[in-house]
Parts: sequence; structure tokens; C-alpha cells
Amino acid sequence: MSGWYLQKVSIEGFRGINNEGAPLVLKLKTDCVNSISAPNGVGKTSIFDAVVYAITGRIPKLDDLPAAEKGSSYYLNRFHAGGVGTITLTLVPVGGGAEVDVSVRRDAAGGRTVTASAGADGNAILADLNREFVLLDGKTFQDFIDFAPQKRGRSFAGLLGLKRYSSLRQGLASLTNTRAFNNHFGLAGKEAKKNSAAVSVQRARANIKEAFTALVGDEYDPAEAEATMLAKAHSALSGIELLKPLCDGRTFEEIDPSGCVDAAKAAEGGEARAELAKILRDEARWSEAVRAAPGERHGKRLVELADARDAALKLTQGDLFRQLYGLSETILADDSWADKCLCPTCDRSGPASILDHVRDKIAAFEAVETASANLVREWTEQGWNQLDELERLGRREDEQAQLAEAKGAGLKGALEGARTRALAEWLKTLTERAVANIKELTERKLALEKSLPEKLTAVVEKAEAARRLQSNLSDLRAALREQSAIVAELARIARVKSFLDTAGTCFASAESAASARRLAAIEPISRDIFAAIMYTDVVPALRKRAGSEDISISLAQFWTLPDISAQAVLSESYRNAFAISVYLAAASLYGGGAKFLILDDVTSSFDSGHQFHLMNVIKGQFARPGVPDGPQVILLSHDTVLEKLFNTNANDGGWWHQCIQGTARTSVLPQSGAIHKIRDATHAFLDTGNTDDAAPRIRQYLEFKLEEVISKVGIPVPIGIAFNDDKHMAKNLIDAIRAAVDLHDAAGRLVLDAAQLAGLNTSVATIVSNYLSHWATGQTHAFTAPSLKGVMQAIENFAGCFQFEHPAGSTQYRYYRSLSQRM
Amino acid sequence: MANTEIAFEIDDSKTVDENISALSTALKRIDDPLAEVLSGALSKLSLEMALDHDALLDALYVVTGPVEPQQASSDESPAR
Repeated sequence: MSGWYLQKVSIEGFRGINNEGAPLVLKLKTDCVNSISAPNGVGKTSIFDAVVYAITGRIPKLDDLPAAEKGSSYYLNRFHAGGVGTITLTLVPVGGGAEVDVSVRRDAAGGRTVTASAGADGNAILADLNREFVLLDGKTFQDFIDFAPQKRGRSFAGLLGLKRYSSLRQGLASLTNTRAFNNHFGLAGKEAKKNSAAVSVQRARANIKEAFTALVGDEYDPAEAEATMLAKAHSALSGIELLKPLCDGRTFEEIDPSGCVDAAKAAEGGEARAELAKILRDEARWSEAVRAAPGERHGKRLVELADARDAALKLTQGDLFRQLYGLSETILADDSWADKCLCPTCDRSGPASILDHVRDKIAAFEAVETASANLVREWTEQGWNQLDELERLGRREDEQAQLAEAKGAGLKGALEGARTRALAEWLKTLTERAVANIKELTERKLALEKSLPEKLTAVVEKAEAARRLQSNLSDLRAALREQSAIVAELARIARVKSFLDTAGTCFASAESAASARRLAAIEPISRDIFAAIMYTDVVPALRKRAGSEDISISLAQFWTLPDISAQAVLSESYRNAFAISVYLAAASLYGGGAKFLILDDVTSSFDSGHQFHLMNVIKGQFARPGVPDGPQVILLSHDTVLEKLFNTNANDGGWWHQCIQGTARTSVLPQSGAIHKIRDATHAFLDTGNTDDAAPRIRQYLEFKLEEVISKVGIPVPIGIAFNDDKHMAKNLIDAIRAAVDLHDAAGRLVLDAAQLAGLNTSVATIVSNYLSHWATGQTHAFTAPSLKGVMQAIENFAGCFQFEHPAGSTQYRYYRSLSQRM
Repeated sequence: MANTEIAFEIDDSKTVDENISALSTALKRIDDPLAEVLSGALSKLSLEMALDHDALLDALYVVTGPVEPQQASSDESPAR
């Protein structure tokens, strides 16, 4: 069996434990249930915090304070001059072997240093100890009940021994998050690029068809092999006698169209032939540009999409508000924000859910994103971003290049309705100009052609058609290359996404199944524990939905009712018992490296009966030594009733109880039950004038002596005394003793002599007036060292009033057998 | 990429690392090169160790490229 027991905890300069130069050393027994009692404010939770920090590296309740509270500055003890906190855990291997000291040091700047005994890896050991059930307090149990199912499931994964699996599941989910994935790969931009490439291919093919027909005279067949098409084109040029020398020995694409035009020009016509060639080129350029323009119906569609985006945008208030709503949703959706109708920014509450309101607002932003994506698709698919040539040809010098200027906004999907209307109008204008120009060029061409010999006119037209064919073939190949590259890139990205999705889904399913399996194993044990604590016909149930991370809690039986909501009907003590049962069951099955549990004040919601039951469960069903393979349990408590139970258990064996006393300002020290140590320490403090540390020890010493008198002399004590808090305990015990003495005195049966009776009154007066009256009201500043020394003497005198010398003259004193019997 | 679904279950008798190793093996049946890259990150993800997601996604993308050792470039990245 592997793992570690906790043998000793040493703390100095951390949280409420100053102990400068003399660390608080808590010795624990690995083969016992360990209990540590302390009154409120003495440092019990500081011990818990120190172990939490040592193992986990943080104290959430400090880290989670508002920034203005500077929680990190409260890790260290404010009274410690060294400004350093040191925690040492002494661990013993479960399987036997040498003990290991792991020391964790925190400096004033928040730096953390871990060291360990020679040969040991301190950080690895602490990581091994870092399991969810090692350090448990009331908040942990409350959270277990109150958490939303998913958060409970994630939190509980550690208890099921599935923490790493849960983390891996979340890690894979984070990798496959579609929004983050798409952003990383810039998918929106790549889709736009793919659309543009498709438009370029489409345009080039249309232009090739036109040029081929003009050159060859046949219909262009897209299914025809390119080589055949090029051969036909070559033949159309080389078949012209004038151009044959310029074509021979060259492929079609190597033929120079300008050379062909020049040849025709040289053959006849001079300037007029050159002008015809230019007109043909211009006509072709304008025609190609106007063919690329989206039609009027696409213009209307663009305007509609932009208007839709404007409408969605109106429901939002800009990016800053989006951030605000996003943060608000995070806060409001968290379980710690209980009132969903309370605004996190203005602290005002209303009748409706702010969370729902914020989510509506976020939905409006998402509607804008969808509208923008639609706009980008239309913009790129219809080639609005590829109209440079048309705008260059059609725009006058004093006019803005509206389409070119709108490119960026178009690719982002950020065009407003008004602007798209202007763009559609502008495109209409450009198209009209292009059509008019083409008409004019055609008329000029026809006029020129009439003035030139027909044969050579056709030569020039074919040469220009060849130029267009060559140019568009080149454009087509470039566009196809671009299209192929982007499609391949998108396919690779899709392959990664598909792989990650499959990996994530497959592992989520496996993790969920393992979690359900382990949960099913826990349930019967947790029910047994719950029944042993609560003794009622209430049966807790744990449920896990297949494939999900959620863990739901309910009651399989609530007296006679089946399947009832646990959150809705359980009282605080039942909720606490539910959570404790589940945690203890999980810890018993899925323990990790830490074979110990520290429970800090986990019974505060229980009455004494249920506390008693829980202690019995821990002792008999869960912990060492009752369960030899069970964990070592360390209980921290301020509860005076529980302290009595601890003392009782300590007398039975298998249980190690100790008290701690002290203050955050000076030191906290264990009082391991030896009352003379408390007495001696109290005198030592009073000798140095330290009333702060002496006063709580006097309370402890006084209570011990009073209980000793009650026990030895057999004085009956009302049962209600056990339920009073520690501030009034001593006074109640004195009252009980006085009442018994008075009763026996009145009956003439009192064994105390007159001097003892008088001494009793004097001692009580001193104790009450000089100590208890101040202690009970918290007026401890009234204490002085001389008066407290008098109190200590009065305590001795008080106990002495119930004793007699035996044998006579021996100076040995023993208690009366009872208030009416000497021996 | 041959398969789009795999059968994988956590074996309670094995350690976490052994189960993660089994997951890696199972993922190889979907896409060997991608599984090879992701396998190196699984343990870190399970331990919540700092992991550069961008670098991991880029590394996954790189191995989806054609196998041309002489042209392979470590700078290849599809991200904008």
C-alpha cells in the first residue's frame, strides 16, 4: 500500500500563528484518530490554512477576496518580524520507511519555496497529496450541495480519482472549441479567399469562352482537353497566311499577339489598323469588366443583408458593452452569485433575472455576427471585392473609388445599409458607363472596319482575341492554383478539427462512463454512512447523465416520498450529512497519495447526537485504527461539547486528543492534556507580565480543576451545562458546585469544615470578580498579572477546600469521597 | 484518415498514464500523424500544465501536409 501519513505539522509566521523562533509543533499519531480542540480565534483554522497552502500552493478564500482587500498580504502573520511563513509537514510512508520532512516557505513577496529531506522530491510529494478529500471544511460540503450539476461533477471528479481525466476532457474540449479553433486558423478569411478564387475561375472561364469563339469561330466546349483547345486556337492564327511565320515553331501561348497586329498594320492601313487594334483591346477590356459586375438583383441582396445587419446592430451597444455583458454573464452564472436578479455592477436588485437579460443582450451580439458573416459571403461570392478594373475604367478623376475603398469593410462584413445602397448605385453607374463605352467602341470599330480591307480587319480581330485567350488562360491557371491551394488548406484544417472532435467525444464518453461506474460504487457506501449519522428514512442518491460531466443529487427516499430534490427539502444538517457521507465514501474507495484527512469544523451544523454518530462512523467505519486500511483522520474543532467527546474517546484508546491555546499576536501552543504544563505555562506568562497568553490558559486550568472537583467528589451537574459555550462554562460549574454545597450544608450533612466553607467563598469571590466577570464579557484588557496570579492561587485554594490530609500529618491530601462522606 | 470513430474505455485497473497511453494508441487508428502530435500533449492537459494551444494546433496542422521531407518547413503555419 502506498501513500503518506501525517506525523507532524510545524508552523511559524503563517496566518494566525506567529510563534516567532518557536514554531507551533503539532505531533499527530498515525495509528489514531487525531482531534485538536481550540476556542474560537486561537489558530485552529490557521493550521488548516497552513496545510492547505503547503499542499495546494494557495488559500482560495484569500485569493478570491476583492483586489482592494489585498488578500495575498494576509498569508503571513502580521506580527512575525521575519516576514516569512514556514510550514513543515512530516510524513511517514504508509508501507514503512523513513519519515520525510517537506517544508514550504512563503516570503513577503508571495514567493514559494519547497524543500524536502535529502533524497525526496518535495513538489512531487505535495502533488501526490493534493487530492480533493484531504482537506475538508464546512464550505466544501456546502458547495457540494449548492453547486450546479456540471460544477459539482468537475469538482467531484477528483474524489472519484478522475481528476486528471476530467482535466483532460476539459482540455480537449477547449482545443475543439469551434470559435477558438476557427479564430486560430482564420477560417473566415480563408473562406472569403476561397470564394474570391471561385469567382476568378468563373470569370476567366467566361472570358476564355468569348475569346475562343471570337478566334476559332466554334463554340467553346469546357469538357474539351486544353491541348485540343490550344491546338484549335493555334490553327486559327497560323492558318492566316500573314501570321503563319509568326506562329510556326511556337505554341499558341508563345505567339505574340502584338506582333500579329503589327504584321497586319504593316501589310496595310498603318495608323487606322493600329487604332482598330486599340479599339478592339479597349472593347474587350470593358466587356470583361462589365461581365464581372454583379447584377442588379445581387445589388439588392447586398443591401438587404446590410440592412439586416444594421437592424441587429441597433439592438447592441458596441464592443465595450459586449465585454461588459460577457463579464456579467460569467459572474451571474457562477454559483457563488446566488441572487440572479442582483446586478453585479450597481448592486441593485429587480424582479427579473439579470442573467436572462444579459444573455438576451449577448444573443443580440451573436445575431450581428451571423448577419456580418452572411454579408461577407455575399460580398465575396459575387465578387464585389474584385471590381477594380471596372472601377478603374469607369471612374472619373474627381470621383471616389468607392468599391476599392469598401473592400476592407466588405471582407469584415461591416458595411452599413446606406453604404451598400451607394455602392449598388455606383456599380450601376459604372455599368451604364461601361455599356455606353462599349457601344461607342463598337460603333467606332464598325466604322473603321468599313474603311479597312475586310480580310486584314479580321486578322486584327483574331489577334486581339488570341491576346484575350492567352491572358485569360493565364488568369484561369492562377485562379485554379489559388483555389486548389486554399481548398487543400481548408481540407487540412477540417481534418484537424474532425480528429480533435472525435478524440474529444470519444474521451468524454469514456470519462463519463468511468465516472458513472465509480459513482455507482460510492452510492451504497455513502448511504450506509448517511444512515449511520442521521438514523432516518432519508436515502441520498447520486445520478450521472450518460455522456455528461454533470452529477445530480437527489433523495431516493424522503420518508415515504420517492425521488425528491435534496436542495429543496434538506435542512442544513442533512445537507452536511449528505456531503460528508459522499466524501467519506469516495475517500474510502479512491484514496490517493494522502492517507490522511483533515476535517475542519465540519460538524457545526450537527446537534450533539449527530456529532456523536459522526464520530462513531469515523472511528468505527472509516478511519484508522478501527479500519486498518483506512485513512488517518485529523479533526479540528472549537466545539466544547465535541471536545468532551474527544476526551472520552481519548480514554478508550485509538484516539489522540490535544488542545491548543494562544493568540495570533504571540504564539499558539499545544496543550497535550498535562494540566500541570498549562499551570506552569500560565505562571511563566504571568511572571513576564503577559496576560494575553495567560488568560485563556487560566480558563482551561480553572475548568479542569472544577471538573476534577465535580468528578472526584461526585457533585451532580445539570445536563444543560454541557451545551453552554466556553465563556460561561466555568461559572456554570462553580454554580453547580455551590448549589450542591449549600444543599448539603442546609441538610447538616456537609463534610467540609468551617474554614473550608469560608475559604470556598473567598476563592469563588476572587475567581469571579478578578477573572470570570471579565472573561465572560470579553473585557480582557482589565487583567493584570498580579490579579491573575491571585486567581491562580484562588483556583488551588478552591480545589483544596474539597480535600483533607490523609493520613493525618502526612502532608498528603486527597479529595473527600463526597460532600457528605470523608472517605 | 481511415476511421471517424473508435472504441475507448478507461480501464480502472490501469494508472492514469497507462490509460492515456491507451487513448493515444486508439487515436492512432483514426489518424496516425495527428495522434502522434496530440499524444505528446495529453498528459500535460490532464495535469493542467501550461500548454500553448496555438502551437499545438499549428503542430497538428503541419503534420496534415503532404509528405515531402525536402520541402517540409517548420515555419509552416495556417494561422493568420
